[in-house]
Amino acid sequence: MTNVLALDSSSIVTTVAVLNEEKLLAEYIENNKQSHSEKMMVIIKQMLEDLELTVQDLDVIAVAKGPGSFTGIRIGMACAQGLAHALNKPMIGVNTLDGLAYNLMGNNDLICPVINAQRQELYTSLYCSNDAALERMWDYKLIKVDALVRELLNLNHKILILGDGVPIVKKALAEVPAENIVIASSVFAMPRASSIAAVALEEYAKGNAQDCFSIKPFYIRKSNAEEKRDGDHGAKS
Amino acid sequence: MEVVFETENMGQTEKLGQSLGKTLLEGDFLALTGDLGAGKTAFTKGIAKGLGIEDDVTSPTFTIINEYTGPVPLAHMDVYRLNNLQELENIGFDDYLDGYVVVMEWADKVKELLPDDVLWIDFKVLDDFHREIRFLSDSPYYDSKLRELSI
Repeated sequence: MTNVLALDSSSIVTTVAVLNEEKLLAEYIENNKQSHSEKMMVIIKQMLEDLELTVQDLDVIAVAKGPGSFTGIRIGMACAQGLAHALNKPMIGVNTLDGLAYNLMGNNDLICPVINAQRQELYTSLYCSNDAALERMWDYKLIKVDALVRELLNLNHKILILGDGVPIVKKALAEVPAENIVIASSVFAMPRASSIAAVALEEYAKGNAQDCFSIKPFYIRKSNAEEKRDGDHGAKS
Repeated sequence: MEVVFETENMGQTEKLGQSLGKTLLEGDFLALTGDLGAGKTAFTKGIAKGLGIEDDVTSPTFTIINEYTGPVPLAHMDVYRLNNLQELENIGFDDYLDGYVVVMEWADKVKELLPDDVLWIDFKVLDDFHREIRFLSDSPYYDSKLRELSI
């Protein structure tokens, strides 16, 4: 049996779970205000105590590696890397968008997780559920909300959206009729460590674990796009 | 909308900041430009007072971001020492855009990463004591705040 400890602090949500091949043993989700740095380790400790497990019972440490809040991602990565290093356990970094899509796994509709990237922009991708597996159809990308709405409308297929970018999409949708875009229930719409753990368990079974030194956060930088644009104008030295 | 004030001393500059601070809400963004010693930090001290913050505001030149808690939290940034836009992203700049009033000194250095709607404030040294402070708003939202400004 493989016990996965998963954590996600890439948004305002702080969430921790322990999962193995048989079942989800425990999950904690707090969706209130940003306070990961104070709470993450305390929650992990409490959860393991409640489960009557010790850290030695954990086999894999999984973490949501981004995209999302730069500070939040780093807090999660640091917690997970610290644990993995001290316990000498393997790690799996799960893309936050993959984790969100997993919340709606098994659905016949397309799944479009959206994460608020500020300035009317979103981190997003698009997924479909095939034979109990998620297939990603787009690259992970940073996109203006208007452009995303246009792309989704053009798909002519029912699409479920979820994530903390939903209010931004909702606002953009107020101006265009979009019957094919449906907002997921708020209960499923936020990051869940159980989903991060489930994706991680699959990756672990495929032999895709990393060590705490090689794992990297996944940022999508706005400044890279800007730099490129400057480069096109030959402005940047 | 453009509004220009001339202040006669540091105290007046601070008072002008306080007058603006009283109208600000979380999510507001002030982009400050102008010479060293032109009153940007004094103005920000006033902003903090206007927001109901009791802590003393000090220059963020070395720390890059100073956070102040209060009825409306303030993030006071100075991006003068940043070498590129990535550095601003790395320090978690985006995380401040929703829950704080952001006052950024030397904001023209990082224009590409600023929110769409910001209030630009330029500081100019006229003589040893006098300063010209120029407010530039692009939206009805900030226009309405400028109408309430006074020394």
